[in-house]
Amino acid sequence: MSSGPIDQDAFDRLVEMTGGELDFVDELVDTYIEDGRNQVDGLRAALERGDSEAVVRAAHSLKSSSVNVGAVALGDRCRTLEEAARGGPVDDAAAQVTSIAADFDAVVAALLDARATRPA
Amino acid sequence: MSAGSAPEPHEAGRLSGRVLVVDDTPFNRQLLVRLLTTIGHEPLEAPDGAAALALLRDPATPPVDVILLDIVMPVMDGYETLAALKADPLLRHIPVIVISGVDELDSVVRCIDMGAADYLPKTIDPAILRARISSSLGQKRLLETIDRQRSQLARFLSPQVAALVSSPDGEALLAGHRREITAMFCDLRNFTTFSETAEPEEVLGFLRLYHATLGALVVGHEGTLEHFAGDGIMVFFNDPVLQADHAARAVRLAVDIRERFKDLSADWRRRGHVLEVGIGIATGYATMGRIGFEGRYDYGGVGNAIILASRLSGEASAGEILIAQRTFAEIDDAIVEPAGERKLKGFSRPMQTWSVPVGGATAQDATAVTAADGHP
Repeated sequence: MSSGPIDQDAFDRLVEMTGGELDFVDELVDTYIEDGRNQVDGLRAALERGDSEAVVRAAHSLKSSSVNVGAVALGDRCRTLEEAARGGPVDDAAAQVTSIAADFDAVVAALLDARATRPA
Repeated sequence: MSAGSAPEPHEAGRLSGRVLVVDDTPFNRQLLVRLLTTIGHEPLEAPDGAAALALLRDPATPPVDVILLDIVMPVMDGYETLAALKADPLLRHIPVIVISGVDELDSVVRCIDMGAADYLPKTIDPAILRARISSSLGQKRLLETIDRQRSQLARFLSPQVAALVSSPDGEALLAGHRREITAMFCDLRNFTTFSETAEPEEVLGFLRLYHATLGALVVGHEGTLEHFAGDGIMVFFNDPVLQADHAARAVRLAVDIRERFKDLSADWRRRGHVLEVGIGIATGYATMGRIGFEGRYDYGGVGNAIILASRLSGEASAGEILIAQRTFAEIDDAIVEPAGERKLKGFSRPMQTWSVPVGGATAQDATAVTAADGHP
């Protein structure tokens, strides 16, 4: 848990899956960041509308891509929210979305940092 | 990336297929598409169920071998998509692999109940992806092979026998049973001369047309085709499917064959070959069932009526339909006339026969034979 927003083993698995093609990993990470932003925005909007179903879908989508990119802790947070929202409006949904957004920003920073600092 | 590069070369012998990825998360789609390409498949993608169905139903889309389906999606989720796929006769055979998180095993069970073939963990493992797709492709290819073989087999078996073989009572019926049947035997006058004087290609071409024409009539009249042997065909009625009007059915079929054969023979007469049918019909008890030996079985019968039908056919002159006494008793006498007593090979006493006069009974009149259905 204390090892930062990205689980290195999980991220390494992703790299391995792509056959070590870092260009493709970068493409995937870009897609993750772009779509993840949309999902975080979607979570906020759904919360405002009181649309639990949309909360479930956005949390679900962000969960699955987060897990594959190595953002295991963020994935767990998303799952907690997804499961709670299946039962209807969630009491502390606003707080949960706030921490998901913060986690997501930290994940993005870590991913971009890893890319910038990796050996050529 | 969305266009997808051409499948890379892959290991020889490994099944390669076209795989449709249905997932609303762009990251997952991108990753799956790439992995599929790497392992030699040709990926297609759709962001939700509705888009997937539209793509699959688009005539411009090449046939899809396997569908990878996410469950939680906007517009149309995995359950709705799966239900729509399984309700569509053109799409229901495509194996669907549900993509699911480990925390969603209930959903997987529900999807399998709905007809999904397998599931794939959301935390994608290339080895598992490869194995699951390979297995689904293998199953699909196997089903396609079975389907192809079944339709090929159906061309050799009469529909009644094909249905019987697969029915619960099939084995008992095949083992042998006694039943009253009407047998109709039909063969060609002058066929030996024709096959000696015509070119082999002509003979085969003629037989193909003759078999196709007669085969369609037999099926149309719901007769059970025992065999086609050269120019002779043997058809039963009232077995394995019970038919109260079996005698009348046999006569109707015979009249139809004679009618239809007129066009066929006129065509050949212009080429200098005289070909005519001779038909015999007899009713009686026979032992019906599997005849033959392991590897080469026929569904057939043993009984006097069968031999009699064959003898009557041999006795019939060109275009004549000869009917035995017991068949005569079952049908409307208005359309037949006495054809005298015949001494037949293998039968000690002469047989009283009747015939359906040419011109006296057309295809329409043959329908009138139905009036005899009420006879005991």
